[in-house]
Amino acid sequence: MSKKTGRRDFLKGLVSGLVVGGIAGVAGTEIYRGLAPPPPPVREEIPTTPIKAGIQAYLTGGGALWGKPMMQGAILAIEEINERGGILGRKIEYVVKSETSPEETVREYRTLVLDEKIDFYVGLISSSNTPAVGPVAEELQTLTFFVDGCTDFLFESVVPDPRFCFRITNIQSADGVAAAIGAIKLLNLTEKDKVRIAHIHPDYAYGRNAHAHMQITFEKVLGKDRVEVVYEAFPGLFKITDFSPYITEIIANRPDILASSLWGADVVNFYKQAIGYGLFEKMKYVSCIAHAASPAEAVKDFPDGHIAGVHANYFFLYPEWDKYPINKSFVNNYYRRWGTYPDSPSEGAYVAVYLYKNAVEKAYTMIGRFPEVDDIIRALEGMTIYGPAGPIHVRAEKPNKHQCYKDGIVGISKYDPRFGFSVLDKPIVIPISKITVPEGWEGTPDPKAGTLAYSWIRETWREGVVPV
Amino acid sequence: MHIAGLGKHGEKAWYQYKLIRVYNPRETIDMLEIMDLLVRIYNIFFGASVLFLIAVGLNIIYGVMKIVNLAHPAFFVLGCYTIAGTGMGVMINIFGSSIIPLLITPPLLAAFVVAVSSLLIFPLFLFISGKGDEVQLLITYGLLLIFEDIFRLIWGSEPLRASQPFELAGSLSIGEYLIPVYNIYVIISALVIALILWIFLFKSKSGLLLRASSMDIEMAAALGANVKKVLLLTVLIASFLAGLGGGLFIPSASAMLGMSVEFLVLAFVVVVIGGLGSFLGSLVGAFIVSVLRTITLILFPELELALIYIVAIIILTLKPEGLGGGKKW
Amino acid sequence: MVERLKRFFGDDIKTNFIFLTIIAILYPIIYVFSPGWGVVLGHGVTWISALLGFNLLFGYTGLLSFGHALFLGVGAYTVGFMYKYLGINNIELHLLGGILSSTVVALIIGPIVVRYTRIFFAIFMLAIAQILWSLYYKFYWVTGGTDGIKIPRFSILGISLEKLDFATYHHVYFYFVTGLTFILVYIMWRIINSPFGLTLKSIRDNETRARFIGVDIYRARLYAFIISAIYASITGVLAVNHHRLVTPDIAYWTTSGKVVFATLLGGARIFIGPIVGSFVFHIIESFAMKFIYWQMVMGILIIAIVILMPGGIAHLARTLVDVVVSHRRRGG
Repeated sequence: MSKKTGRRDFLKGLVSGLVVGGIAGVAGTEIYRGLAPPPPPVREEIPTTPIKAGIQAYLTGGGALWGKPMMQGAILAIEEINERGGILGRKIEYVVKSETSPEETVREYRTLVLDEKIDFYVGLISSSNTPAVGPVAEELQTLTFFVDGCTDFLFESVVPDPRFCFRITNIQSADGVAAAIGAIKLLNLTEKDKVRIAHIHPDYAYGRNAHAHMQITFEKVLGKDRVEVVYEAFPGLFKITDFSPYITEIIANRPDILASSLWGADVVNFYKQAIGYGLFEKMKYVSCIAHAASPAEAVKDFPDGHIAGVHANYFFLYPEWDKYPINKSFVNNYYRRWGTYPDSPSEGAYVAVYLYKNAVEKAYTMIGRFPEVDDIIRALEGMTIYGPAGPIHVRAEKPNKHQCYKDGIVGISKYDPRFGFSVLDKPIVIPISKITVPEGWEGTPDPKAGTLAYSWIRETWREGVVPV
Repeated sequence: MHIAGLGKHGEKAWYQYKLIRVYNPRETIDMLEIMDLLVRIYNIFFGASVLFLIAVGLNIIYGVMKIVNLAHPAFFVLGCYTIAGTGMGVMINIFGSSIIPLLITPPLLAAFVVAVSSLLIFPLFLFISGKGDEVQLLITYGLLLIFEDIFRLIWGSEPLRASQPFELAGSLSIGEYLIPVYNIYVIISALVIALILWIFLFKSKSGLLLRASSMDIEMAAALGANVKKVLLLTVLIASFLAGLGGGLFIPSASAMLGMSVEFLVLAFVVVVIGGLGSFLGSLVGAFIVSVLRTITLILFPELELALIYIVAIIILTLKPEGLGGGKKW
Repeated sequence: MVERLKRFFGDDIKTNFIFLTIIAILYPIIYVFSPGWGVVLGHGVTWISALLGFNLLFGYTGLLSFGHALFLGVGAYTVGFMYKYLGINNIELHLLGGILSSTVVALIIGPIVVRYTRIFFAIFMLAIAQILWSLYYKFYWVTGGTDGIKIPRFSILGISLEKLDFATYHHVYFYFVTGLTFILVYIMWRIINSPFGLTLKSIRDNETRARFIGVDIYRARLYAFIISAIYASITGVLAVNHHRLVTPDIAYWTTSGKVVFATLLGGARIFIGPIVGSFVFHIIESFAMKFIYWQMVMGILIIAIVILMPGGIAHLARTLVDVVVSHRRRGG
């Protein structure tokens, strides 16, 4: 084995030496004609063994509304790639594991890496789980794409300098800020003298982040004196089936808007019960996430005229199909394969697999052999690809290194008889650069909210000005 | 400015007045606050009804068989899934959108299905009755796990809803307030069920048999009661009640996996507070737990769950037989 | 010879040591073939302490605790807080902290709970465990709620393990815990075979008679309770250092159920039971989790094992030895 490699290395050296010499010669004579293309690297044989992907998604409980589409998105991408001959000729195989509580999720993740020996990983919805798995991924040195689990904590405090973890979805701060700005613009909140806000968020990293970021945005944009928080509640994620006590308290405090980041089964239970209490007629519901996953089940008859957030990510109607064919073909393929419309987690997982493919191919054109993990990571950093939701950029520098960014989208809920469920109407696109901590910003995370975005908004935004 | 004199409370009330634009501020303030209170009380009753429906079966099984049946909430959830997964679709095909049959038939169907399925695992109950506590706890825990996956196997992993009755029943508007009618229906049904159960236990011969067995099953056997029959009756009644409860509850929520475990701890506290094996105790316990939850939710949400357990412990220390009057039944 | 063999299979400290040594020798081989199963053995050795503690209370004193997660949680959150607020990641200090805090907790609740027996004791423990669980769960800014507290790799005697690769780190962890377990097993063995241990057994077998011959039942139970708490908290400390994540899950009642089942699986009342049970339980659990419907597999296994093997593995092994021996004797 070692002998063989030795000979091949020697040959490679010889050949590349020749090639470089030749190019230098050519460049020397024709220097005024501009730059010559770089030399193609020496191609090495690509192994024919399949690439193994690990998928981990909520398959049970209240999170299944997110986990199932996520799994379907990843599988669709894998099947598409395999149909077109795989990545550099290598087919992709996949193993699916279940996402549950952080401890069990980490355990299953370890099984994927240690026993299934996966080459890359696509998964996770919950913001409790990404900070738990992140350090393990770094430790086990496995290329890991978190589809969601968007908490700012992950790349700010838990894994501040990641090598192996990447995250596809927009960061939570972008999500919360986008929803708040959407609410301010679409509901004309700037015209009101005073805005009474109630909050209801799930009790874990995501809900806490959403609460902080929505609140600071309202305070900054509307002015601190004009915002009054009248009620806050943090019910446990998927622990409550009967929200009526919360609904009563919210109504009793008479807010103008109800800011919420309930998702999955929670949002379904909440809005169905809230309709019974007439909550939606008394205030505007501002959700940063409700329309993001499985809208056919999660927001089937959601009341019209409320702020519909999609996690600042993707709703299948936008970008408009006729103007952006990538989205159209994705929606069509997804519908043909699974019988439903795609959503934010399915798009995220789909893009994750394609990011991997593009990075492998990009690295291959540079180094001429099937890339190692480090080569793929180098190719991924700073990469931009066009996914169904539009361009998505992988950040290469701190803060939030390895976080992916795309423009946020918010709209107003409206029942659409064509689809039979509530859709996102009157979308406004919020450029991501305006609402997220820029690359290289040096600040310290806010001690109370615990995130960089919070301090960034507090310190750099001008009070009373809509930033977008 | 005149608001200043009203103090913080008055300011809030004044704002409320402004918000709903009613011309007489004083009167409105009082009305609103009374309404807030009434709706909370109404919620407490609703919460208590649901808890009672889960806990009462747990208590009956403990009373007669001395089994802490960890799988009992799974019966309740089976009732939920029966309706949300299959039953409601069938009902709507039969009855269309006429509200009365849609209110009445699903709970009965769920109760029937759950009672029949309980027959399948009856031998297991027979086996564990009289065994050590640890054996009973583990076997019923195993059952709970199996049930969870049976739901998943049959009805899939996504949350399911059967909200048609809830939506069709609509809301009752009282002044500015809306209250879902379906919840009133649940409260009334729970009361009716409690009443029927009481009549059954205290006025019928089978009820007498159950109560006698709960005092001393060996003595009852010596006096000619068929122990096996008594146990069968107990399991049937408990599962029937759980199914009924599940079928009643589900239109107002969604059926999802992992629900059983959540309900278990609550039902358990209800039973402990009310008194293990006491029928009246389930009523008292359900009400206390519901009140405590509502109060902590308003005043100190962090202690929502802790306070319930703390009260349970205080009661265990001071009055281990529970608040249900101390008597069996 | 026969007597020696029988004693070897139940009433000899050597059996326990030999069993642990075999595991320690097998571990690297298993790890090479399948790191995942190596990690499972790591779980197994971690949980021995809690099961020994539980068995002292259940098997030897006759108190069924359905809330042992309480002490696992105390150990775990002691580590979490020590790291989060004091920045301590020395495992010796973690162990010390866990032992101290669990002793304090046991001293507070012990005097109340040991007055109860049977199902009331079980329920009492469950309720107290649930209180602490709900505090861990609800006080987000202190405990991190369901997100938990992330802790880095521990250091032993000031030597940091941060730079090691995962496999080496795991080997260090495994052998550290195995070494500790040898000590813990030995201490527990001495406790159970001391006069105090005999007192506990006499209470378990006949409370009235024990009281009659002048045993201070209350005090004996309280001591057993405290020792049990300390043993459980040690597992709490080790388990979170293994996961490097402290979440309320470890204090939830399902963890208590795990403790009860694993002990019964190995064999309660028999000294080696918990040690065998810990490994077998984690192997079974990992096996079940390979299925999509793993809860059903687990549930069926629990029911089948409890019905078919009421005495647990240790009891079964002992019975088998009996059968073989008597058969051979009859044959000879």
